[in-house]
Amino acid sequence: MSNAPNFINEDLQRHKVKVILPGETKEVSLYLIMVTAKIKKLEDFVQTYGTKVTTTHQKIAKKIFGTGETDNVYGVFLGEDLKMVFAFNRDFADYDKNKKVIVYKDIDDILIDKIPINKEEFTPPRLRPPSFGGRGVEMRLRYSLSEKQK
Amino acid sequence: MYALKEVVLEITRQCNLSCIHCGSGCSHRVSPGELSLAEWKKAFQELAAMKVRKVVFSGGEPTLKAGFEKLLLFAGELGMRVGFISNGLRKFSESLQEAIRQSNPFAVGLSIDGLKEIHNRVRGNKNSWQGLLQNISILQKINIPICAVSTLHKLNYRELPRLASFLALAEIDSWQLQLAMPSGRMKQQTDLLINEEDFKAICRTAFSLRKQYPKLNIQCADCFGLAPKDSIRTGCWSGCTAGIHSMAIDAGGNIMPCLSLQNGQRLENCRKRPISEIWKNSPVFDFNRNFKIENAGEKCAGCDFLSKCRGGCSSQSLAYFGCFHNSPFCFARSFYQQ
Repeated sequence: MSNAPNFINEDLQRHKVKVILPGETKEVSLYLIMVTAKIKKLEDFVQTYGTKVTTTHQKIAKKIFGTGETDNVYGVFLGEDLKMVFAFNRDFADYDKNKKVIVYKDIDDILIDKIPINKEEFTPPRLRPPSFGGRGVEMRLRYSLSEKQK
Repeated sequence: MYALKEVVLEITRQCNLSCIHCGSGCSHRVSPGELSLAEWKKAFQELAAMKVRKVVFSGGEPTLKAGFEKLLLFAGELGMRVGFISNGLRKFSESLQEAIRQSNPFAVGLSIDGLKEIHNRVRGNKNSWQGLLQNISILQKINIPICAVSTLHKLNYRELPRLASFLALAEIDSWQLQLAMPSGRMKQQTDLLINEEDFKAICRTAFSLRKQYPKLNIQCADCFGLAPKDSIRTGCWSGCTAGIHSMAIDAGGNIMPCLSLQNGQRLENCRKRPISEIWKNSPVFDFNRNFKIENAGEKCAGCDFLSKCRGGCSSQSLAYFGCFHNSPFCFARSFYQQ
C-alpha cells in the first residue's frame, strides 16, 4: 500500500546518481534534483568560472546577463541526509550520466552563444561624386592602425 | 617633395603563429640579417629628424623582438606617436605593460579574425582566443585604446555581425576591416579569397554595422577602394598613401612603400644609405608619385575618380594582377558603376 513517505522515498530513489564531483577522484552516490531560484546569474558566472574570468569576460557577461536576479535552474546534489553537497547552474554546466561527471560549458562559448545580433537593411549611400573628394583622411593601410574616434 | 608622416615597421619576421592569411609568410624563427636594437634606434633617430609623426610596429609578432619595450619607449621619447599590432597570443609581460603605459600608444592593434572557433582556426592555435581576451583585459585596465584588426576571407566574413556585437560589448575602441589577398601564405589558399559577390556582402555589412555601432569606429581599409564619405570609413579617402606620406621598413632594413608590397623589387637598405635620401630618391615610390591616368589597369580604366584614388590599394592590385592601379575590389565600382 502506497503512502506519502513511501511515495517520496521511491521518487527520491529515482534521483539517485553516481558522480565524481569536481576536484574529487572517488565516485559517490548522491541524489540529483533540479531547483529553480531567482539568483543573480552574473554572480553565478563569476563563481563558476573563477580565475578563468577576465575583466573582458566580466564586462560582456554583465551586459548579457544583467546585474539583477533572474530565474535560474540549478542541479543540486544531496547526500543521504538530504543536505546539499554540490550545486551547479544549468546555464553553465550539466550532469553527464554516462561519464558520471559534471561537464562545464566553455566560458567563451557561454558568452558567444548569447551575443545579440541586430539586423539592419543596407541602403546604398547616395552617389554624390563630390563626396568622394575633399581633403584626404589618415590612411588605413594594411599593417597600419585606425585610431580611437575623437 | 613628399612629407613622410607615417612609417610601418616590420620589427621582426619572427612569429609564434602561422595564420592562413598571413601576407608576409613569417616563421617561428628570427630571420637572418634582422636589424639589431641599435640599428632600429638609429633608424628612429633618422625618422624623427624627418619629422615623422607616427610609427606602427608590426611583424611578425613585434612583442617577440628582444628589447621591443626599449624600442617602443625610444620612439616615444623621440616625439613620435607609437602604435603596434600584435596577435595577442602571449600574455603581455609586466615589463611590456609598463612600456605600453609609458609610451602611451595611440592604439594597440589586436588581430581578431572571428569569434573563438573561427579565430583559433584561422590562427592555427587553440589558445589564441584565450590569449586575446586576456590581453584585451590588460590593455583596458591600463586604459590603452584597442583597435581590432580583422582580415576577411570566405571563412570569416559571414560572422561580421556577431563579431561586431562582441567587440561592442567588449568596448573595443576601433575596428579595422581589411581583405585577405593572394600574397604570402594566402597564395596557397586562394579558394578562400572573396569574390565580387562576397565583397558586396561585406560592404553592405560594414555599412550597416557602422550605423549600428557608431562607438566601434569601424574603418574599412584601403583595399575596399573608393567609397562615399563616411559610408564604410570616416571622412573621404584619397587613395593609397604608400610613397606619398607613408612607407615601411622591413626586418632587414629594406625600405619599401608598404609592408604588403614585397614584390621582389630592388630595395634600398637603411644600413647603407640615409632614410631621408632613400625617401627622396628611391624609384620604388615612383609608381604612386608619378601616377598617370593611362597607367591604370583594365579594372580601373575609365573611372571618373582615377586621378583621386590612383587605382585603389597598391598591394592588393599587385597581389592579384602583378601590376599597380588595377583594384580588384572597389566599393564605388561595385555599387555605382556596374
